[in-house]
Order: sequence, then C-alpha cells, then structure tokens
Amino acid sequence: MNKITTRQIILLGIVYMLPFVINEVRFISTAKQHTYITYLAAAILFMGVLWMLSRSAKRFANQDLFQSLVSRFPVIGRGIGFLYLMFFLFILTRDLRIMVDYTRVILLPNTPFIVTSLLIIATVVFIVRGGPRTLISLSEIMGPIVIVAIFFMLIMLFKDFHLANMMPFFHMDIPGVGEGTWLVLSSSGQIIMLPFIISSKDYRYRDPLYSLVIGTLLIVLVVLMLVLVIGVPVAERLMYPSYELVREIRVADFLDRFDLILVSLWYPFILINMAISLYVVCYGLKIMLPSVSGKMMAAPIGLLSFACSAWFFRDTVQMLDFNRQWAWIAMVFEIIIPIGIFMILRPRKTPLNN
Amino acid sequence: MISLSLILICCIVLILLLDWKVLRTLPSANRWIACSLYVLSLGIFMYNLKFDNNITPTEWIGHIIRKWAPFE
Repeated sequence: MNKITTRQIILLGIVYMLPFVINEVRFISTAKQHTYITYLAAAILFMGVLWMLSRSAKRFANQDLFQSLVSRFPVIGRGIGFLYLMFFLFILTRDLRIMVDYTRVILLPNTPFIVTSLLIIATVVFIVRGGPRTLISLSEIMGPIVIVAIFFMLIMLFKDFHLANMMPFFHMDIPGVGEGTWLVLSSSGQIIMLPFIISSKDYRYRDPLYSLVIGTLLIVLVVLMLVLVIGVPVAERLMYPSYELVREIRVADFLDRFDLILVSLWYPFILINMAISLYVVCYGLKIMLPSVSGKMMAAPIGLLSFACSAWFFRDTVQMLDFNRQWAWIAMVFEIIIPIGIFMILRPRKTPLNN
Repeated sequence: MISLSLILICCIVLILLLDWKVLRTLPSANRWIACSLYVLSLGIFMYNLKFDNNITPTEWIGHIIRKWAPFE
C-alpha cells in the first residue's frame, strides 16, 4: 500500500469495525442492559492482540504481515497466509449475505436476489479495482459522515431516553456478560486486518489502537441508545434493531421516513467495508503468488463470494445461529494465530562471515 | 435454474471480454486462476440451485464445533 497517514489508518479501521457490528447488535439478549460492557471487554483484549501484531510487523522493516510471513517462512508463511485469505473471504461472503437479506427485507422486497447480490458485488469489485487509494479516499469521505450521523442520532433521540431501561444497573449478570463478550469477540477482532495490509513503516501501535478505541466507543454509543430508547425486551426480538432505532427518529411531519436518509449514508459505508475484505483477499493472494495481479483477481473472487454467499448459509436464522460457533473459528484467527506470529515471526539471523 | 445460471454465465463472459485485453498481457497463472474461480463459482451456484437438500457448509461445521462451544 502507498504512503498512508495516521488519520487514514484510523478511519480505515473504524470503517472495517463499525458497520456490521451496528447491524448485528443481536447479542443484547445475553448481556441485556450491560451489552456495552461486552464490547469494552473485547476491545481491551484486542488491544493486546494488536500490540503483538504491530510488534511482530515492526521486526521487518518496510513490510506488512503478509510480506513478512512469506519472506521469513516461504512454505508455512504461505500456508498461514492462505488460511487468512479463507478467513477474510468468509467474512466477505457472510457480509454479502447479510446485506442481500437486509436489502430484500427492508429496501427492495420485490427485486430478485441475484440482481441485488450482483449489484452489491459489482460495486465492491469496482471499488477494489480502483486500488487502495480509492478505498482510503472513500473511507475518508464516508467515515466522518457516518460518525457525525451517529452523533446526530444521539441528539435527536435524547428526548426518548428512558433511564428505567438500564435498570437494574448495578446487578450485573456475569455469565451473561461473559457469553456476550465471547459472541462479540469475532466482530471486534476484525481490526487485526490493519497490520496485514499496511506496511510497518507507515504506522505506530497507537494508530490501530485509536481506531479500535474510537470504533468501540461508537458501538457502545449505539448500544446505549438502543437500550435506552427501545429497551432490551423489544430490541432482543428484532432482526435489525439498529434500523428500528433509526426509525424512532422523527424530525417533523414532513421527514417521517428519516431512516431512508440514514440508510443512504450507511449503505455506502457497508459497501466500503466489504471492499476492504475483498481488497485484503486480493492483496494477500498477490503476496502469496507474486505472478498474480491482485486487481485482476477482484472480479473472480467477488463472483466466488457471491456464489458462496448463497451456498454457505441455509437461511438467515441459521446464519445467526452460526455466529455462536463462528466465535471459535474467529478466535483461532484473531487471537491464537497472532500469538503464534508474535512468538515465532522473527527476522533470520545473519550468518557470521568468519 | 437455467435462467439464473444464464445470467451468471453472461456476467462471466462480459467480465472476461472486458478483462481479456489485460489478462492476455499478464503471466498465464492469472488466466488459469481467474478461469478456475469462474468455473468454481458457476459450479457452486448451479449446485445450490439444483439440489434442495444440499449440504450447507456452515451448518456442517457448526455441528462439529458445537461440542466445544463454552456457551449454549
């Protein structure tokens, strides 16, 4: 990736963390009114993982983690790299399915799924074909807009806050919070993508850390708004609780469907998020197989994710149910392998001349 | 099923038509990988449409992992 500034790294991380977490605040049924603690606990855990990954990356000057893995361990490094490609391909596939389901349920119920899917994936492929500059520029535009929109929501919904929804505040269900933390680990852990695509010379540990902290605080803000406005008993039964939260906003009689304006901001945000997943897969493939052009692989991999998105999940309910098992797989990629990388990935010692 | 598969085939042909000029100049690995991925996508898509009781990978993996999940 070309030279990238601190602000761009922070926004890239936020764009990759925020959109689907907002859409997936369904684990509210486990931790109830203390759901915000689950995101904070997950963020604290990933501060450590990010530190380990950035330390590992710093051992190899001017290289990102994909490059350092391949250059240090040509065979095992490629194996681990391919595993990560599969991991990010699955994330792209799942996100595509979530978006297709969401679009068909909320926005375009009469449009065939193939049209919706192909339009989404075509947009994502075109963003990736524009290269990292396009991705970063789009993040720089949409990131601040969506952050401002979240604060706007806070102001507009402030009058509807019911503090009674947070009660009993001091009676914390520890097993419930533990289960909630386990379930949100996978989504918060997506931040580990940053050291894989950004060269170690371009960032310091604090850059992805800021990204993680700001992204988590924004999610906590959304979760608190959700609990305070809608309440746990209703929110835990909703398919898209954040969407229902936005529908609560009524500026005046003439702007009754304010949700459409916010969805029009959030939808491009989610497309950029999916483009980042596709970019990571294409970029990783290019590093694993140097003769391959990452840009030319965007369309075939995008089409593969389109086919897999229909095949991987039986229906939306099964997809939600799989989140409980997905936490295990995500933990391997987001915690266990990074610990292994931290312990093993060191530069080769140069042999003595004499 | 045929009509949906035809839409996908048309998309693949269109992408190849647009990309072929660039793909031709790149090493042959690019063409092989791209074409293999297109065929794989088409195969998965048709398999998914053709059979009602097809195996869903996440359901299958979920059954295996469920035993070790710390929370039910």
